[in-house]
Amino acid sequence: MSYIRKVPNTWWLKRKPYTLFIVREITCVAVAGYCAFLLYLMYALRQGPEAYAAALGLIMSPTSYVLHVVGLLFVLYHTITWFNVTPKVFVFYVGEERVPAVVVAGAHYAGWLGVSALVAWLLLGTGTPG
Amino acid sequence: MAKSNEPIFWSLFSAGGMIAALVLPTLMVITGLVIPHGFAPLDALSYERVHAVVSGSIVVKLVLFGVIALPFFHWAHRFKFTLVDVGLRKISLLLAVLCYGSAIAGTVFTAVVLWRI
Amino acid sequence: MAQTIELEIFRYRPEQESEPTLQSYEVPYNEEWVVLDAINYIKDEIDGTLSYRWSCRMGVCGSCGMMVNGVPRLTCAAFLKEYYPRKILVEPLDGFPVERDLVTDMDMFVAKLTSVSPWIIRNEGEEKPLEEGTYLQSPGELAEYKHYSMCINCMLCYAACPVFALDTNFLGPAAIAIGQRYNMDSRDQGRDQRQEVIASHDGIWHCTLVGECSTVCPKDVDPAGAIQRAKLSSTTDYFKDLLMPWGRRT
Repeated sequence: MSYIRKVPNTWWLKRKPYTLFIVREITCVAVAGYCAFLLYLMYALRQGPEAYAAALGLIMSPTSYVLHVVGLLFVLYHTITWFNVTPKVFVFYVGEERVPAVVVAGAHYAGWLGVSALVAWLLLGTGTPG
Repeated sequence: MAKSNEPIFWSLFSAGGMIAALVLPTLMVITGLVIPHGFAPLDALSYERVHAVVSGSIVVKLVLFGVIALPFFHWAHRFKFTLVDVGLRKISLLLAVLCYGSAIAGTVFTAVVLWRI
Repeated sequence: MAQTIELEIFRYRPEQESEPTLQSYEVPYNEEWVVLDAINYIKDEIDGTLSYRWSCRMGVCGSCGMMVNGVPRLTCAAFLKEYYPRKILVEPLDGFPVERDLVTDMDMFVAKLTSVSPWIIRNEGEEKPLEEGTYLQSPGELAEYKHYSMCINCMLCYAACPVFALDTNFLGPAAIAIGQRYNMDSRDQGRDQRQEVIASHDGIWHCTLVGECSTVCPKDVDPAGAIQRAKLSSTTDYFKDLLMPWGRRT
């Protein structure tokens, strides 16, 4: 009679790679949380100037500051782990040589830089009052 | 074997993950650090300016829709799998309904809100 | 006094115990020894009742895989000096039922492997007659699948996969990588047939890309990569069929 070993629900605490995996997966909460905040901003934008000013004003609070910093750490972890696995999904050949993983991941990091610069420019760079 | 509908969820998950990875860090730095620290005025995101840009362009609305709604599916997919992995396998169907259901509700709400701005 | 190292070994003898136990052995420490040498020493010199699988001692046969301090390793390639002077915990590969001591029941794996039809499939009537010679392949076509063909079926990737341990219905890393090995072979025409298994719910879709399968693989097969590529191509197929049902490949 074969013996079947039960997997405890704490299996992911037993080895560092598994713990980091769960941390990576949990970053999704920060992602969705921030998007919910953006949605709330848009909702307030639709309500009118007062509602919007109140909603946007939230970002000046200490609570928001802490949430932003913690959330940012998680989202950055998401970004890095996400780009690092892109070579596993996207495989290209030039002639008979496989495009190296660093090039595929590197292209994503370069794209990230570009998108980040664009977003920063759109939000802060153009026609800032005062 | 039954054909799986998982490609729908996986592609939404992936698209949301890619958008989140590309866009969210900068947005968070701006709303969380740059503005509160006074490196840019709160007016940079003033009602007049933001409202004018969003209400005036269907393209801006579509971009915002993608940035806000797709990451909800990214969340739904990962969160469901994580809960299943840490011991809630028995209720995985219920979790799928709750997670993807929330993402769909969030998406519809986002569409309605943006449409009306 | 000669140096020694302690090995703590998972014991399960179904005829005398219903729950597994750990048994400690003190073996001579030799820098050149691998864990398998130490286990062979135990079997030959200390306790002949210990059961385990091994064969080639050189990382080719894939039969001596065990959990060494919680990590799946080929015990013929895990040197004692990596662990000395700490003690070494040796257990059977995670995720599989234990038949006896370090011997697992691998029927499940063999069934999964067989289910992906791991051989070259040609369409009905398209098999080249023998007198026409072999199917030619360019180095580029070989490069597409060669690393997948390095798999030695050692099952370390299954033992590293928490998804498989939690739900053994999952087709699992090696079987998918080997399926992809044939899918990407220019001589093969069996992808649609394999997709029935690989693209099904219990095929690739349980995978959450923990990535440890590729980390522990002694042959750099990268099953995690094989699975992600299968997800991408299966998703592409799915939307093609949805948007252009008339273009269904036969």
